[in-house]
Amino acid sequence: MSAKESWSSNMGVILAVAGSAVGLGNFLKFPGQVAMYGGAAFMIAYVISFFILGMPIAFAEWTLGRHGGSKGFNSPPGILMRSCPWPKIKYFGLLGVMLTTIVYCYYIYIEAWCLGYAVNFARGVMDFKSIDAAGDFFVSFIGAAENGAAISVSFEKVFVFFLVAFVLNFWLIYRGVSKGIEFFCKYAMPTLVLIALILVVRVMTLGAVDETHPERNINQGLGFMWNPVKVVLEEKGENGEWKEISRLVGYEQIDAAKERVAKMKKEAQSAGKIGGENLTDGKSAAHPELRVREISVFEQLLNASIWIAAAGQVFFSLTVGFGAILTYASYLKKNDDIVLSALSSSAANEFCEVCLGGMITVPAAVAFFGVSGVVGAGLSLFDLGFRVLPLFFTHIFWGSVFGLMFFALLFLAAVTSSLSMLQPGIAFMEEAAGVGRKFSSLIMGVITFFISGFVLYFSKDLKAMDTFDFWIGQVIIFIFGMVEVFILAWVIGAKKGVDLANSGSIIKLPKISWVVLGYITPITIMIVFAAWLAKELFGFGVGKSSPYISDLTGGATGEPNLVAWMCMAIIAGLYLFLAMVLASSKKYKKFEDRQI
Amino acid sequence: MTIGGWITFILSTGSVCALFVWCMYKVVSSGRAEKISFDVDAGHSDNPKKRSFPEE
Repeated sequence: MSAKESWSSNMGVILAVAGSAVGLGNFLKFPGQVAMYGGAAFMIAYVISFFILGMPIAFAEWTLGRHGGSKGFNSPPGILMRSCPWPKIKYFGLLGVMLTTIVYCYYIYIEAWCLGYAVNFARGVMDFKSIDAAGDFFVSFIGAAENGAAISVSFEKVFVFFLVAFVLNFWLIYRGVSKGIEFFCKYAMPTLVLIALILVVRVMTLGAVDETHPERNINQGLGFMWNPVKVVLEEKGENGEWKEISRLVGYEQIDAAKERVAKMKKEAQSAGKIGGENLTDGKSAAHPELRVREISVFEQLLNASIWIAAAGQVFFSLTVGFGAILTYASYLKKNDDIVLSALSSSAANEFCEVCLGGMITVPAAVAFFGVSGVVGAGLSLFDLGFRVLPLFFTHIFWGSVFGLMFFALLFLAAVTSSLSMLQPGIAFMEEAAGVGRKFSSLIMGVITFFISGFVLYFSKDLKAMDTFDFWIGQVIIFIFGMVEVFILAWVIGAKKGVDLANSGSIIKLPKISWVVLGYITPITIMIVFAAWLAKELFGFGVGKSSPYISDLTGGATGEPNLVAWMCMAIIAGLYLFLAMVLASSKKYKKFEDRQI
Repeated sequence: MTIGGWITFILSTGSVCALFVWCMYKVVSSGRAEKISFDVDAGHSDNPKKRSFPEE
């Protein structure tokens, strides 16, 4: 039997797990979410989710991983089989291999965008005059206009960067856990933090980017993200319902809007259009058509969407429920620390997300576009990262250098994450097929090259990527994470789970943690998953069913989407292939026979 | 940004920074930051070189 791989230092595993968690979401998605849902309210929901959802699931993954690793299993099927009395759980554990493999296949595509943007900033060719020009470059670069458009050898197409990123990942993964993943993360993570700190200083010292709009500044950008009370200008629609038309940030803007509304009301009253009965309460100035409304933190927290968004952000940001931490932790020994390591890697992720990501993206974008400009351009991950910010960088002094730094930062964050997605598959091939690292890397290389090539080719409207992301990157991850928690909480037992986690750890979980792990976390994750499914899949509260369902059923048009169905076929095919490898595994059979 | 915004901002970033710094301090001061408690680090298993490290 080949020698068992392992980490070479405690700091190495912490940086590798932190690297797995720190990704594009930290720098692009989190700031957009905070801005969208309001600073204090979102942070309250976020912190609560972090402690009752994120950390317990992370502890569960670290504990199950180390537990499975002590019996020589490093991949999710083996780790779950080692932790449960039912050997067939290994077929469920296969989901952990399948989901990381498929997520890698579209994540590498996005990783290539970051590399491509960094290189193009270095070449000095990123010079956009408008948001539309930045958007057009993005669509052309990734090939979103038509299928096959991305496959072209040019600096202004993603294809070459995809090949470079793919080879880099496999070169590192082939070198092994210690010499590849740990080695890279040990240098990449500090470099990433250093670049982010330089960018934070640059953004925080921005003067007026656009002298014709002095109100657009960093103070307004920070206020847009962090002000606890959301102040909005609303307009009354024909059906009598008030609808938000703009967000107001800063005392000057709020006072100006109130004055404007009061003036309009006065003019309307003097013209005899309205009576006093239309006046609203004391905190809003009223007009038949417009009003300024202050939404308190408490009122914002009554909105279920904010809780789903915060829980989802914590869940996906920490990459829990993913199988990656499970695999990484399996390379630890029985008495190695996991409580402090889990907390440290999560804290590192939060530091990158809140302290670095929260101070770069949205403040910079608002300083350049203003609040309405950013809201108009979009607060989604792709809008902010690949349309708004590239335009911002082309308009500041030394913008090419800062643009290069920003996209290099995203690229490093993406590589440290994608490495963690490959390792479960590599470990599975090694232990189930009984092959060495060289051959398992080759098998995974061939599989991922074809699936990521599929994503790259079917790039029109990002349909292939979007379909994989929804069904695998969200639905299956939620399910897998839930089952992991159930296993530790109810199969192994929460009290025993806490003891297992504390064994060998530098700091200990308090004994009372079993209540959180045994009841609060499993129940919360079920509620969040049910609410998320109701909204995202069945359109509850949105008023329309999911486009992902329509893609498969045909929806109103009656024509199912072929690419979406091909994605489903790939998912099923990959699972069947992995299941065949698992079914013929001598190592698993031997362990199963012993267990029975 | 309003005063409430500054308070939210400082509390959020400050607490996360404090947690991160405390964790790093604990890892480094525990003496395990660079500890190798494992018996083998083979690089990759196609070319294993068995090395042994004493348990602490």
